[in-house]
Amino acid sequence: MTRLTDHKTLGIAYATTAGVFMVVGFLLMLLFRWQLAWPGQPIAVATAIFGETNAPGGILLPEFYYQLVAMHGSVMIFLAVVPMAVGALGSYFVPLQIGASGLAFPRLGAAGYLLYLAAGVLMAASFVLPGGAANSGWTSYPPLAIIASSGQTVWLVGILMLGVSSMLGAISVLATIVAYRAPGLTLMRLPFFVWSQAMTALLLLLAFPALQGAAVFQLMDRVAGTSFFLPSGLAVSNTPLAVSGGGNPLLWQHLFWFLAHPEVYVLILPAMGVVAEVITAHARRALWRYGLMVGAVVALGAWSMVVWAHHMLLTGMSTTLSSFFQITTMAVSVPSVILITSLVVTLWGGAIRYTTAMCFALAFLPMFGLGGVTGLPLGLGPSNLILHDTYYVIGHFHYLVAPGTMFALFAATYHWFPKVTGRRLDERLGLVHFIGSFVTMNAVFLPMFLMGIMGVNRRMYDAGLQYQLAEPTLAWNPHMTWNAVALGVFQLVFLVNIVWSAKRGTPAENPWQATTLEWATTSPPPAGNFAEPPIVTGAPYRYEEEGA
Amino acid sequence: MSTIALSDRQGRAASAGMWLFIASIVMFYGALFSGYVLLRAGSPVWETPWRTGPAAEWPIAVDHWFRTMWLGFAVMQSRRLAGEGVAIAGLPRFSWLVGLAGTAFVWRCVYIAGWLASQGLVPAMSVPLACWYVLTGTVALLVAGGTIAAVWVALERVPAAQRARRGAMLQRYWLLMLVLWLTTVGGLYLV
Ligand code: HEM
Ligand SMILES: [Cu+2]
Repeated sequence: MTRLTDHKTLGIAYATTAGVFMVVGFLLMLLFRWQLAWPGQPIAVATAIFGETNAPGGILLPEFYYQLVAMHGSVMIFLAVVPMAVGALGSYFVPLQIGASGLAFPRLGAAGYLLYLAAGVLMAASFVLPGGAANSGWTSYPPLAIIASSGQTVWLVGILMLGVSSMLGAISVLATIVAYRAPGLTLMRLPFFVWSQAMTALLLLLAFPALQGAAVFQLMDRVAGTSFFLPSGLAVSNTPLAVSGGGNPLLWQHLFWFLAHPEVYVLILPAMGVVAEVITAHARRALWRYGLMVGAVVALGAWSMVVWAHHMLLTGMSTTLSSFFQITTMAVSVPSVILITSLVVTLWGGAIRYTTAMCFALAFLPMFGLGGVTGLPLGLGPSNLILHDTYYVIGHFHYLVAPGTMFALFAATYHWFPKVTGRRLDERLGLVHFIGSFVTMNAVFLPMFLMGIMGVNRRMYDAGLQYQLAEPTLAWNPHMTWNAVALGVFQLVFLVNIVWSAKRGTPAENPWQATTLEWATTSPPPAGNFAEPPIVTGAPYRYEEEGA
Repeated sequence: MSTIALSDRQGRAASAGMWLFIASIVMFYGALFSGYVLLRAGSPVWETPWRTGPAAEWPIAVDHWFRTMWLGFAVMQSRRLAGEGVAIAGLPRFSWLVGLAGTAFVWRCVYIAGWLASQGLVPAMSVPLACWYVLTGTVALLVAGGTIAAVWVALERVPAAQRARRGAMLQRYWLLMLVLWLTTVGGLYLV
């Protein structure tokens, strides 16, 4: 606990834990991808590992499949990517980038981490419960989630804990930015990454409570027998449910998406921040229209709170309401496009160094672009009618978070590894990691758009064996699964690189000659970060003047 | 080039942190309350059995009056602690008095909930009742938290300036409690 009050230790603790959950989420995915590729065919070791109740004769039961899918989404979003992008990168680099010696409330930060760890362990351990882990999707829609097995209760408790955890973390990061900036570091001199983290923290702080409120309601429905989300006259397997009824299942969807849409920006804004830092440093150019970018990231964050019902266009809302959300959804792409455009224009005339970090950052741009563009048809009623709940949606958001945010996290690792360890990651292994990840990611996710357009639903245990329209796509699934396996293999290269380079990598202080404050101290930074408190006299990115 | 004194920065951080905390509680309570509004608006009938009948040994309005007063008292006392209110007597009084007021508040909430439950009016009985329990319970929980914090601050041995700052933060918290409480009473009993 005492050590966790140091923001660097805290950042590394977050990174390690989130890394473990990333592997867990990935393994869950491999299991259900196996089922999708070869529906109903036994996996040799499955019974031994998961027991007779989940995988009799090595065949994954539907009940187990849905646990895998629900927990894959929950683990990846709540326990892996957000803690990595916010907990790890935010705690470690925000104080350094603003010239501070640490976080404003070190004990709050540490408590936030411990809560996250406890929530994560609890949620992961729920697989051993009778009926297993939560199985109603990461979205936990009622009534299904309310009649689900006890794993759902654990999921809800975990979400409540994570809400408190992210509130503590967000308060700690924001107060640090408000109060502990180095002298001379005005708001418009902040590195863009700090802006992205500030907006992210604000979103977490304001949006997560809505999900916590919803989780309280759902928990009451499950343990106290209330009917917040249960309509009257509900019957399960032809037996009327013994509840008062009178509630509204759509209320959950509103509260859930009021969090969960901003939550997707929590996934993407830190990624934008990282990519901006990497691009400016490795192209030796100041960010193009920094002020505009800051405006765009603030607008994006604020606007993301009024688009949530585009996830519910087909729930029978009034046309006025539906038009409102379609319009806000179209408009939200404007700031996204501004950000991407600024990043691309920054490259113009730059002296680009094709390091691994830069390759990942550059690849982020078109991947994010594809994810964003495919969101537009989803945001319009008529096309949403066709695409809703199909694999197209899965393709859309995975382009944003997998080759999108994940690539940014990889870029961050290659870029900042020397800062944390004083050594560089190996660039040859890095190149293998990059090319391998790029190819396999696209091979896994690109076909999903087509599948969705052909009408294949998401969340089908048998990949659509029963449907004629899915027939042509069945043969694609094995290829996608093998690519997912290959993607995993390339991540092993990455892990080896990390372990090896931490001990044997080329020593480096500031290998990219970056000009932001985190590089103004030794690598790794000493306790207290700066031998002398830095004084800031100008913009964060000074590549042109330096004439690199 | 002037360097801002460290304590100044701590004060700014603490103040910012408190505002952010308050914002997130507002969002949390706002989610619950808008859930309440939506459920109520969408229900053809909305029965409010907690409003009628002798909910306790005296009219419920008296009870509301007391609880409002106790919260107001907590606001005033933290104002004093912050050095802004009227100085009446030594500070130590603050600790057990606010502790008492907060505890009394929570006790009344629990008491009335217990009474309702004893009449068979449990959360599972209807959505309106479920709303009553969740909204009242949330406020009671938040007040309980504030009570613990207030007592802790009063007992803590810190320099006067720091104690005053904590008082200022507590004051904001108690004001928020007052607002949440009045919203709850308004929503559940008046409108
Ligand atoms: C231009 C920007 C975007 C637009 C117009 C957009 C639009 C949409 C729409 C309308 C849906 C609902 C589809 C349906 O279920 O019928 C959706 C789903 C989704 N989007 Fe986006 N989106 C955008 C950006 C993003 C970003 C930046 C992320 C994440 C980093 C993201 C992540 C998601 C996720 C996770 C879902 C699926 C949730 C689920 O049902 O499980 N989107 N998007
Ligand atoms: Cu959305």
